[in-house]
Amino acid sequence: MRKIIYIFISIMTLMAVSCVYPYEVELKDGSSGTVVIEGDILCGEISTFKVALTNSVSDTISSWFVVHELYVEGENGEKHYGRDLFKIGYYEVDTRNLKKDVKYRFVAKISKDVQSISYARTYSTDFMPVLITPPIDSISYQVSPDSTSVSIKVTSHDDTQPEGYYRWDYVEDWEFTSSHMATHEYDYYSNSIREIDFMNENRYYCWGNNVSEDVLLYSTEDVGANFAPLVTLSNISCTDRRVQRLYCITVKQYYISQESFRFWDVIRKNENLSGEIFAPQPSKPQGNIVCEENKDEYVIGSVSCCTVSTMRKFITGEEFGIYKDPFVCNPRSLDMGQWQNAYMDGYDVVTVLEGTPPYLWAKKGCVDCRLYGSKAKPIFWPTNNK
Amino acid sequence: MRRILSIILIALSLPAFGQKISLYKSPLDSVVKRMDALFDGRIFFVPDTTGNTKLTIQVDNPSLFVDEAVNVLKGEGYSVTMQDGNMFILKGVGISTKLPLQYFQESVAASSGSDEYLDALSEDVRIANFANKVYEIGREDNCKGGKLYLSGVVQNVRNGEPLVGVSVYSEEHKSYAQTDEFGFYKILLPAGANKIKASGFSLNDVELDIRLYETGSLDIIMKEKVFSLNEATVSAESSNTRRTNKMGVELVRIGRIKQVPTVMGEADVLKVLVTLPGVKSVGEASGGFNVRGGATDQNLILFNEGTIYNPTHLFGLFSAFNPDVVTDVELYKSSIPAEYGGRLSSVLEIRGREGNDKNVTGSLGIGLLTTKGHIEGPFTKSGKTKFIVGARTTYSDWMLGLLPESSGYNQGTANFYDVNASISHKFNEKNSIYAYGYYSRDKFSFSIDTTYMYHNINGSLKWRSNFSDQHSMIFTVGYDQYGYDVMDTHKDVEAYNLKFNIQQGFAKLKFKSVLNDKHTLNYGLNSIYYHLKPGMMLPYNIPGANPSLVKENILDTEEAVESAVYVSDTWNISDKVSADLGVRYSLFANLNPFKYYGGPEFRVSGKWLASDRVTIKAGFNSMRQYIHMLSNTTTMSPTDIWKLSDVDIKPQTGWQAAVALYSMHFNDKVEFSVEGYYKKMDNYLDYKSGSVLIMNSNLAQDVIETRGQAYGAEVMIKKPLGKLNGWISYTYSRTLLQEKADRGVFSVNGGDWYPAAYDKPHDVKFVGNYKFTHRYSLSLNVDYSTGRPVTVPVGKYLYGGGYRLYFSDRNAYRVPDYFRMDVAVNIEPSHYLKQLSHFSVTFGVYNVTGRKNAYSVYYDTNSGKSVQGYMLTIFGAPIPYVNINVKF
Repeated sequence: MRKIIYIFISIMTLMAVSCVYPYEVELKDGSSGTVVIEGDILCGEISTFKVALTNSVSDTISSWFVVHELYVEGENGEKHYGRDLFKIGYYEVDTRNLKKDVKYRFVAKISKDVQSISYARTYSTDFMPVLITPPIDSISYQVSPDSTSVSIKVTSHDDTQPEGYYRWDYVEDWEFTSSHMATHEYDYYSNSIREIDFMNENRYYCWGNNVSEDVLLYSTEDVGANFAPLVTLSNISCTDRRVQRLYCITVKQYYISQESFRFWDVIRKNENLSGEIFAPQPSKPQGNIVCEENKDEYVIGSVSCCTVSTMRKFITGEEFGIYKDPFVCNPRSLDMGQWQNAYMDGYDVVTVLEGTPPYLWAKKGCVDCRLYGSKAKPIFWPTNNK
Repeated sequence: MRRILSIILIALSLPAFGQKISLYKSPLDSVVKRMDALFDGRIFFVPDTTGNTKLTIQVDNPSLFVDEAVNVLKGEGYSVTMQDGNMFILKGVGISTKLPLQYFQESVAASSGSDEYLDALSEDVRIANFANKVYEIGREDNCKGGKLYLSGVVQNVRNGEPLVGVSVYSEEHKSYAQTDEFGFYKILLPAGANKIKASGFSLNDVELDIRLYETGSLDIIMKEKVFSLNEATVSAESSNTRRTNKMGVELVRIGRIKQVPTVMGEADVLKVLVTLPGVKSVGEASGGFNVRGGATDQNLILFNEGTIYNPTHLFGLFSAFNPDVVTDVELYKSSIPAEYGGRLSSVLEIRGREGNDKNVTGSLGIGLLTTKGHIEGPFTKSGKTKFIVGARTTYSDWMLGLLPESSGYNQGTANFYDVNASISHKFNEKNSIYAYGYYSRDKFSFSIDTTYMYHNINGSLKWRSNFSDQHSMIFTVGYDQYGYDVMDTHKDVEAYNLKFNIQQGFAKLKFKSVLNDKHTLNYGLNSIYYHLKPGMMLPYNIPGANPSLVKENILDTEEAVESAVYVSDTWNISDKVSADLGVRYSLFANLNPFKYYGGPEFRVSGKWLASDRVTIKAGFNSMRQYIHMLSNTTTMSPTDIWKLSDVDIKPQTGWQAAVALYSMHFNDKVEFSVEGYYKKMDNYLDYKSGSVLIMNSNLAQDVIETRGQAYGAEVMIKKPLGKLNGWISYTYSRTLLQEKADRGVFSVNGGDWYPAAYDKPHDVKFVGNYKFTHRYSLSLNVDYSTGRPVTVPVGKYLYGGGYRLYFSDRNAYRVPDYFRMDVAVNIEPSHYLKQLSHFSVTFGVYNVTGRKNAYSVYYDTNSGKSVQGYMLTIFGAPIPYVNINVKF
């Protein structure tokens, strides 16, 4: 449907009737300060919870609040208290030893009123059974017919349940290189070039890292079988360094309840709204956290209780076979007198040809991979590159 | 010699067939009319302009009538000549049948050319002749006094088309009648001398002297008005509001529709509605309209009796009706006649034209986006069978072709067409049959991979019979279909075809009985059979690619029957007070699984003529609706779902109470009106947060039942006729909804009342037309309204790895106010009568001030921490247009 409006806009633009203008709505008061709780009770793992308040649209500073207590409680009375991670609102609960046949709930006592810090409200869920997440069947990739992109897909199924509501998140790591392997380094202040110790000082091998931002969901409600085939997790363009050398995706799969699925689905749909002619209206996600002292208080957050299935997959650049360097990286030779200016213009030295100068220079982006990642190699990384 | 088709004027008594015929002092044309009905060939005669000829003919058997009439005519000094089976009646000298054959044919050919010229020139003469007579209806000796009925058809003098909504009245005796969709009227008058008047919008008034001795009929001819300054103006629109009991009825003739400037210059049947008080739309390109706080699916849209589910083309830019084949539109926004039901807010009747019964004529129109044409005329010279066919298509593809290739849309297509056809046949004075057909289709794809299609099909057959002076009947059967089809071939394994389809068959039987001068009854039966396919998701296998993995999913077909029986009485309590009392009982049964609902609906309205200038009316209407449109978009979209009431989804019910005051000023040339209403709705369905409406087998879970209330006041000053004509109106209105079920914090807006998406409290509308000369006129259209409610982000939060928007309560904010002004210059065709074709040209500018009206606002979080708001404007600059029409 989004296409309709694009075309509509295009037509009207063509007719010199431009269509989209920046706009600022004047907000009424009292629009900030809704409690937001994120995190799931992950049976068999360490669970992380994040407590926050909504900000007004333009604010960057969080509103003030205090978490007095945060714990996961079993129906059998066991309590697992949260540990403050000293990152405002982040807590960690050790839920590695939860029992799969006990129902658990999440509880947090929060005060968000500066005037009465000691008065805390209790935000909690009902007791929930532990949902046993099926293992991930496979992670695969599919190159687009024109080889301009690749999609990473996950497949899963569950024979034990007739229907499943799946949610995923993932962490991506990738190893990449700069276009040119620089053997030398330039020093601006002395206007000199020196050879580097490649093993320890290279700007050739780097690693990138990213966590998923999109809401990734799948429901087998209308499928008839509990089978989630080839659900797209991520789309990567052929000019993205992820597909250059070695790509790794670590996918976590969660089983969530139908209510929780709806909650995430609303968040997902609200993201995709664009004021189109036929666009659905935005709506408020309905989670499962209730303020016990004031049932009418709206709280954002849906806490699920489940086990986690994790799968990691490495894919090499050769396997993808689609990488195209985003830059044109033809090195040119420069005399010493040009070095300082070239450096200021964003060039760096690549190498010294056999024997004596000329020195070859290229754009910094072609020489220094750190511009697009870091030298921090993940501990589990299989290659020996440094 | 002039050939006159038999139907121009008649004044004759109407004894039943098979009985003896007696005409007493009848004028020549009445006699010829009667002869024509009994004579096999055609009769040519020169009308008696003096009106002096009075013929008295009496026969015992109709078969003897023609011979007897010939004898009487000859006795009065007429010559009657037979030629090729045709009869020629001339005063004095007859025609020689012995001329050389060739000579005769030439003379006929030559004279027929000048006949048309004379015909056109003589319209005024004919009207004058018609009006300057004294009509004697029935025989004076048979007159028993008391009150008698006069009935007939009001026709356009030019093409014989029936004129709808014309007032026929006697000021002296305070009787009033209005012509129905067939141009038929019936008025009760005291026996003896009467003066009756006929007036209609953009028609010259006709005043007739009548001597009414027996119940009888008189057809009236009227001529379209050429506006000029000194003309007497008695407006039918104002007479209607004063005379009928109904309130909140808006009749707009096609002439007015064509004057109102629109985007791209397409005369638009629906867009003109939005210029009326009490009618709103959510945005400029939206197809639906909202009447007095009702939702878009609460309007019953009838085109020649068929129900239209999606009245728009090109995603709401145009309405789906070709203006060339439409005669008028009538919107009932308050008093809904008991014969209509099934929708909560309003009934919009779009009436097609019947066609010219004299000549074959047509038109051709060319605009920026569409081209259209129509042809109409009689099948036979008698004009008893006539037809009209119209078609319209677009060539908007060229606009898409202009897009840069990088947009990916320049291979897109957007096209639509609609076709209308109707045939009517008049068996005799009492029985006519009409057949209508309509088909509209839209197809648009903006990239190669997604195609949207939708269509409307309607067909109906109508039989109208006036079996006696007091009783008449209309019986209609028909079939309607609406469906859409979305094809997505974006990815081979995910390619699908999504279909939705609704079909209905209907039968309507309505009777009208005039019991006496106090009571007129309307009663009848309606029945609709629904067959609805709520969704079909089919895998689509792209040839030569991987097979689609989409699972075939066909939702259960819904079937239901909706029937209703109604009766209403128009009761003239006194000269000043009258009332319409109607009751309708509707019964709805969903067959799968079986579940029925039913209930009475009341339609009551009354009128008090407080003085010669002031009329006060009040009304109460209750309605029931068994089919619902489910949507979570702001406007009507081509993928909206219709759903029948079932076990879980209750029918919508509602009532409206209204009062109104009308007064006439400045010699009755200006009408002032104020109407106030209060409306309650129950079980209106709104979407639940995060609902999925397409391919949902359990829709009841995703919608909420709401109760609604709407109230408002409409003030209007109208000058329907004259050199400067038009109206200005101000409306204050509110529409509020509340979720019925208490779902606590999850109730929409916490269970409080919230404004509906089309709640726009203030609105001012102006529609004006100024005629400089007969050929040049200027139209101006101004529209101001409060911005519509929207749901906006009022906060943001980090969740699931990204910033998410925190939205306000539903519809808690508003887009900026709306203002638009359009102008158009109309150049009417030249008045050279002998010219074969007539050009008319319209230039105009839509949104002259270029105001960037917000259609909607939306927000983007892509930039990370800052959230940027954007406003979408649909027509944010002046849009010029030109339209050329040719009539032949």
